[in-house]
Amino acid sequence: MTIISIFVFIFVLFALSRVILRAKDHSISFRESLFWIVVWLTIVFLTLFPQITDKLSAIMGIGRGIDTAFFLAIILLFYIVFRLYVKIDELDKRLTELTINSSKEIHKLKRHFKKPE
Amino acid sequence: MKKRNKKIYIVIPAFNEGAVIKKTLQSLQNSNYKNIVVVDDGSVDNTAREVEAVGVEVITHLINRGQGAALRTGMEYILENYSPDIVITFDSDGQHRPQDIQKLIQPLLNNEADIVLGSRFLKNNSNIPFFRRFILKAGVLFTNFIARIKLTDTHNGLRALNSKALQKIKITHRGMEHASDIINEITKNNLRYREVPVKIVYTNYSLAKGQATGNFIKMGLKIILHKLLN
Repeated sequence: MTIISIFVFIFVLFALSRVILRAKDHSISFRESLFWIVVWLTIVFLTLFPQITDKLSAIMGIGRGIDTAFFLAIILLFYIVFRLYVKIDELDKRLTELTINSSKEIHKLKRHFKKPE
Repeated sequence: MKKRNKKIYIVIPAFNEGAVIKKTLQSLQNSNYKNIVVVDDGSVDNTAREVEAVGVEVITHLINRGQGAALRTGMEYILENYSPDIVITFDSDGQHRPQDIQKLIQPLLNNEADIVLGSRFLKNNSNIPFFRRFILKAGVLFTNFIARIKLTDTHNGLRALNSKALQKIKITHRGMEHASDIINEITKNNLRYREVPVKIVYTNYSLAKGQATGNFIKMGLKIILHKLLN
């Protein structure tokens, strides 16, 4: 086991504990926690058995095993960033709708209660 | 038809304009425009109080959401509550002149257009600083290209819409990109449009409050991204 793989192993343990904590307090769904557990376990697995990436790279036509791991990691990151972008955009739009509609309603109520004067 | 028979409303989005909003509103009231709705876009200064002080209706956003959202609130509110014939969008910072409104609504009264846009470039009478002019022209080229339209000024906040345009135009961007949204909606809904020359009064105050140059680039990128994803 190389030093880097020990570091990765410790980091993954930390990340996994975060996932489990988040799942426990229901701030992420069961499906999401499962997704992240699989992601982190795959990373541990590849760190413990790096020769698997060599086989994978031979299949995919990429020179070195570690390159395949990086390649897959970057693709995954892109996907996560995209999902985050969509989520934030959606939240932003909902916040705007909420602001617009609540301001109109509050104003109508204010006007209604001012009328008798 | 005569102007007095038409219900004309003015919507003014405002964000932290406490220093100038009263003057802007009074100039409109002195020109006999009484139906005004100000949307206070989550200001942290005394904007709302200043508006109420001159007896103008003010709708307050609980948090700041941008000029596009503020305009939407105002336009939707007027449409839902007052059945207007014409709605004018007017800036709060004193850049626009009340005397330009008559020119703006004339094509609507003559039923020659559904939306009339003010242009500072049709007649060169606004003292536009050189760099601002360059950025604005780039914005015009970009928006004309995206919306497949030919306008001389695409980012001018002074506009007049009839009730048809008001119902058809959907503002999707909450920030300054709403100006491009409105132009896009003109082509999308086949609205009849007209540009009339207006004068923009640049003051140190309005220039400092106006768009930073970097924002224009960000706005362009946002519009492209929106086009790609939708």
